[in-house]
This record gives sequence, C-alpha cells and structure tokens, in this order.
Amino acid sequence: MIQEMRFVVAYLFMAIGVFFSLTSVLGIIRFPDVYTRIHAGTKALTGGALFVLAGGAILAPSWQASAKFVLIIVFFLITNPLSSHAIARACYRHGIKPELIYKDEYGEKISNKKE
Amino acid sequence: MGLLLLCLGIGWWLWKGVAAMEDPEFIIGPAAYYIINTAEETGAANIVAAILFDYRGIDTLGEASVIYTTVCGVAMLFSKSKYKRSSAGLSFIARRGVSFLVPFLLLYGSTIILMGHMTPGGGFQGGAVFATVTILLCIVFGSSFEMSRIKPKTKETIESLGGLFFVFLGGVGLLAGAGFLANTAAGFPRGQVGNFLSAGAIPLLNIAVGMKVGAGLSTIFYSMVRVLELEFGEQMSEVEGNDKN
Repeated sequence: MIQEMRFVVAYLFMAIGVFFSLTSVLGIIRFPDVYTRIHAGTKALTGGALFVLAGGAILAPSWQASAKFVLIIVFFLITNPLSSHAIARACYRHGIKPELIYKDEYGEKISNKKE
Repeated sequence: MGLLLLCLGIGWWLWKGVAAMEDPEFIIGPAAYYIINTAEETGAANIVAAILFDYRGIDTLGEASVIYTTVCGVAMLFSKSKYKRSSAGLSFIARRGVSFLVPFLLLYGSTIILMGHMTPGGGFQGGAVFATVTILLCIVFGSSFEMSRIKPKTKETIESLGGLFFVFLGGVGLLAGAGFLANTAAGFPRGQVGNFLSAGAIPLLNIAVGMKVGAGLSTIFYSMVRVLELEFGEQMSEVEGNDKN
C-alpha cells in the first residue's frame, strides 16, 4: 500500500514538472521581450526540473540515492537564479529596454549614481 | 505536421538502435573483445577509460599534444605585452554565489579525474571542469583577480608537467621492456576491479591528462579574453565605476 502511494505521489510530482516545462516553452515562444522570456525560461528549471527531481527522489530505491537528488535540487536552486540574474542584468546594461513598462527603478538608480 | 512525423520517425529509429544493444548478437568484432577482456587485462571498471589509456594510449598522447599545440599557437598569436587588466566583474549576487560554488566545483572536477577508471569521466572531462572554474573566476571577478590567484606562468608549468608526466609513464613501459605506454605488462599493479586503487597506470595517466587539459583550456581562454579587453577596455572601465551594487 505504502509502495503504491509512493509511486502515485512521485508520478504526480513528475507530471507537475512536465507541466511547468511545457508552460516555459510556450512562454519563450509567446512572450514579447527578453526579460519576460528569461522569466519564462527559468520556470523550466525552478518549476520543471525541481519537481521532476523531487519525484525521482521519492522513487529512488535507497536513501543515499534520494540524498543525491536533494543535493542536485539544492545546486539548481543556487545556480539557476544566479545565471538568469546575470543574463538579465547584462541585457539591461547592454541597452535593451523592457517593453510595456511604467516604472524603471533600476534605470533610475544607475542614472542617479552617474550624476 | 510533417516535422512532427519526422521527429517521431527519428525517435523510433534511435529507440530501435538502443534496444538492439541489449542483444548480444549485435556486439561483434573489437567491441566484443573489449567487453569480455577489459576487466581481466587492465583492471579498469570503465571500459572507455581502458581503451583510451591502455589499448589506445598513443592516440591519447596524440590528442593531448593537439591541445598542447593549440595552446602554444593561441598564446603566441595573442601575445601582447601591454594590456589593460580589468577588475570589472558582475554584480554582488553573482560574486557571492560563485564564491560559494567554486569549492564544490573543484571537488567535482577532482572526483571526475580521480574516479576516471571506475565511473564515467576521466582526465579530459575533469580538466574541462577545472578550466571552467578559472573561466568563471575570470568573468565574475574580472581577469586581474583571476590572474592574481593563478598566474599564467603557473598554468603553463602545470600544463608542461602534465605532458611530461604522461610521457614519463609511457617511458616506464619502455624501461620494463613491454613497449611504450604499456600498463599491466610493465609491472603496474592491476588491483581489484572496482577498487579506488586499481587499473595500474590509468589513474596516473588521468591525472596527467587532467593537468594538461585544465591548464591548457584556461590558458586559451585567458589569452583570448586579453585581446577582448584590449579592444573594449575603455567601455569596461566605464562600467566599472558604478558596478558595486
């Protein structure tokens, strides 16, 4: 019984992860500019990969294998926001302005510092 | 629609190929020989490592010298004595995160190199991870930081030492009268298959190749980024002023 419950929960997690990956693909195709696309692209990892890995951790045969999955999750959680932050910041500094924006606080901060 | 059918067709084809591998009838020729005899002859659990560093050791030496030649060429082409070192890096978040990650990356790289005879990996892959660490430091903290930590001269020394170590291990085989780069025939202990200390000279050759590839790739990147900073140095120093947020 517990075994079956474990399978159900694990596959549920994986299905949620696949859903997140699918939405991230749709977002990358449909969103208008760089920043919203970065936002959608990161969902493939923070939503998709993490849920799939969590499902794998539940399914794993031994606790050592589960610990490896958890370690991978932790490293994804550290590196993914880091890299998307660096990409977005580099885009802004390169001169790509976000579309459809009504307040640009980061731009104001930079121009205040220059003066 | 046609594209979807094409994708499905190729996927089915690949799946048939993978499924056929489980059938022992499809393993013929040298592949069958390696699968049957590798563990006994070399003591390496990783067949790819055994082929790379034992059966085809001289080819691997050739590959390593290709990298060596590339490094020499790139370093010579881009050698300019006067250049502006940059301390412009990325934001505080990126700096903090990378400085947290670097020790783990180093651990990962050395694991790939040292376990190369048992698990997937080896000198080339682990060396690439080590080179990635120096490239990350160079991008995130600026090249002057990277240069102050690991001097270009040190990298060149490590690379040359790696190459020399490889050739020296081959020479041991010659001294034992078993031929260049001989492994167990030259008296290297075979050990128990799957143990950390096994497979004779293969772990040592992995370390040599790791030193060469790591230092070599990082030297290539460094020489190229130097030229970039010569051209865009002024822009970078402009950004540097307001880069501490």
